[in-house]
Order: sequence, then structure tokens, then C-alpha cells
Amino acid sequence: MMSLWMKLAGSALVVASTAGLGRLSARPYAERVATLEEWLRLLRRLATLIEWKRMPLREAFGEVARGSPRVGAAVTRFVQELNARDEDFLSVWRRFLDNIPQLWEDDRAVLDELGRTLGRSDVSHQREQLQAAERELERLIAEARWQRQHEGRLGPALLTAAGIMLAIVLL
Amino acid sequence: MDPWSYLPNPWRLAVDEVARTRFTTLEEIRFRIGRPAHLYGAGWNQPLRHASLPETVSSAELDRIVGVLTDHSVYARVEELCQGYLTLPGGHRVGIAGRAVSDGGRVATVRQITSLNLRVARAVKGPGEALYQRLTANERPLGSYLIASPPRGGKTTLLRDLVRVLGDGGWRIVVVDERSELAGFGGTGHSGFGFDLGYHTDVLDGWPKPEGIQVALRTLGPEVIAVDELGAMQDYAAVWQARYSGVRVIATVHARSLDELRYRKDFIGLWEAGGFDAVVFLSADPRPGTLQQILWWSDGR
Repeated sequence: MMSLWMKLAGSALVVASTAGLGRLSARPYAERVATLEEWLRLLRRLATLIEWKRMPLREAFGEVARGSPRVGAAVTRFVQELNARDEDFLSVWRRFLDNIPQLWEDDRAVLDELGRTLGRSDVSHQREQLQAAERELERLIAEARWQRQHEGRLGPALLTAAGIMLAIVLL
Repeated sequence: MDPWSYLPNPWRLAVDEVARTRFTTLEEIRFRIGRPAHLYGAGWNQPLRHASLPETVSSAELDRIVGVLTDHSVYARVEELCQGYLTLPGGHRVGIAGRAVSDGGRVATVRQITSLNLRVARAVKGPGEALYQRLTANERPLGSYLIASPPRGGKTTLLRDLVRVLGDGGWRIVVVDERSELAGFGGTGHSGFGFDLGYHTDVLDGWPKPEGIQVALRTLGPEVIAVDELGAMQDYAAVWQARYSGVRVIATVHARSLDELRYRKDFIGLWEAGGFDAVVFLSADPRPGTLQQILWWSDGR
């Protein structure tokens, strides 16, 4: 009787851990979507602060950091590095992107391109650049949602199924 | 803060290590492509040398310096750049030389920057009081005045101190500070300004002179309006409007003598109609702010 309970408990543990591993494997997909969505909101707010208030980037990023739970800490560090007034903008910007691991290579490429032009021209050109980046982010978000929907479900399903199979074998 | 504090390293570090005796009298730094950065002080000048500095200033380095000075936000400073300058917090001026990019006959931006000139703005207390005493001697009431001098003659410094004296003396003054030089917007101390302009003084920072004067007249009820560097026809028209409204105006202009001013139609119209009670001429010799002559309207035109 005792050994049956042990087997059941062991099997439950195996299923739970494989399901957990499955969820873990899906996490990057979900985090990418959430991070890109936050970036999109951030850029829209940034556009307002640049266009309407002509707020310098340091202040504008300081402002948008407050409403951005995922990237807020990295934005704050970025602002601090800009405050040091020692480096060119692009170097600081690239380090900032490095501090956001949830971004994938394609996402980084779009934001890196934005960093090359951010702050370097008048308001109308800034608006165009930000709108172009927003369009790219929207495309990436659609892509990331699709991946979350499909690839992001495959891993958990396979791992959970493997766990169940292992449990059956154990029993 | 000194203007040098806004430079990126290694320039900031190099200026910090300039000999104390010279540092305290340092007035400006000039960066020119292909030459070493150069320091200018009261009666001296020398190249800026430091182990960490490049031998000469490169174009890329100038771009980096401008990037840092504009807070990496050119869009916020385009109006200033188009006029060939930047104002740093505290009222310090950065002159910019480069190639103008025109759009429809108007300068749209400046590219290929070839030189920069960072000039410190310092408050000098005392000459404003002395001038006020002279202008109001023999129970003469406070009037409208034009302070004239060649560039670097000390007129902005004198106007700033005169505003402080009047502001502390109970006059309600509005300063229309188009280039943020008079009040030093964004400086540390004095309610967000770099300079003390007196207790009863309000500042319209960044307003073009004509619009600023109109807003002052409509909404701030000033007894005196102070503006720096009259130049365009619209500036003189705005001064006219203020004078018609019974408000005194104290302004500055680039000119060495009345003869030089006589070539400017806008000035002559205003002067002959009594728009200014006196023109105060300053000289940079032996030092900036030296009072050369006060020409009273009542003494003949």
C-alpha cells in the first residue's frame, strides 16, 4: 500500500515538474510580447513628450520610465548614464538595449535603428522616425503573438505529455 | 554651474585641471576643427593641454560635444541652432559656426559644425546701482533707456544688474529673455534661474521679444520691461507698443555710437519720438562695462 502511495506521489511530482518546465519554456514568448507591447506604449508617450513639450530625451525617458514596469529600471539606468554626459548617445542606447534581455534579435535591430536617429533632427523628422519604429514594433508584436500562440504552446504541451507518459511508466 | 561643467570628458576634466589662478578668470573656450582647444581669460589665452586630450579637435569630437550640450535632443534646440547659438542652464552661451542648411530662404539647421565657443555668463553686482544713481540723479524720474555697446562690451551684464537693482527696489519688472541669457533659466538657485534679478521681477523665458512684450503688457502688468539685444523691426515695433502703453523699457543693442545707430531706421523713428529717454554707451576698454557716455533725448537729437 505504502509503495503505491510513493509511486503516485512520485508520478504527481514528475507531471508537475514537467508541466512547470513546459511553462518555463513558453515564458520567453510571453515576455517578448509583453515587453514589445510596453515598448510600443513607451514610444507613443515619448512621441507626445517630444512633439508637444519639446522635452529633451533625458527628461522624456525619465517621465516614461514611471509607467513602464518591465523596462522602467533599464530606462532609469539609461537616463543616469545620459546624465553623466560622457558618451555619445548611440553607445549609451545600445547598452540600454543590452539591459533588456526579453528583446529578441529582430526587436533589437528595430530599436537600434531608432537609436541612430533619436534626438538628431527636428520635431517633424523625429515624428516620422518614431512612427516608423511604431509600425515595425506593431509588426513584431503580431509576429510575437503568433509565436506565443503556436510555438509557445507546443513546448508546454510536449513536456507535460512526456511527464504524463513517464508517470504511467513509473506506475 | 560653469559652462565647462556641461562638457563631456575628457574636456571637462582637462578644464578642471587648469591652474587655479587662470581658472578663476577663464572667460571662454573655443573649439575649432584641426586645432587644439583654446582658453581665453581676462588678458590671457592659451591652448588647452592635457594628457587625456587629443592633439587637435576632430569633427567627430565636435559632434559629440554638441550632442552632449544639446542633451542629445536637437529637436528641442533647433530654434537656437538656426540662430547659431545654444544657451546652457545658467545663461552661458555657446556660439556655433558651421554650414547653414536653408529651407525656403530660412535657416533650417546647421551641419558640419566647424567651431564652438563656450562663454561663461557671470553676474557682476555694483554697476547697475551706479548706473541707476546716475540715471535718476537730480530727481530725474526713472525712464526708458537703451544700453549700447559693441559685442563683449558688457551690456547684458549691466542690464542684468540694473534689473536686479530695480527689482529689489520695488519696481515691477518683466524680463523678456528670448535667449535665456539674462536670467539664466535652468540654473541652480534664485527660483530656478542662474541669476538674481530682484524680488519683484518676473521672467518670460524663451519668448521671442515681440510676443513676450505683448504678453507682458496684456497679462503681467509691468512698470518696466527689460529686453536684451534689439535687432529686428518687430522688436522696435514691440518697444513702441510698450511705450504707448505707458510702460518703461530698458533694452540693449549692438552699437558703438549714435552715428552707428542713426543708420537704423527703426531706432531713429523711436529715438526721435522720445521712445527712449537716454542711450547709455559702454566700451570694452579698459574692461567690459566701462561707461562711456550717456546721451539724453532731452539734450537734443
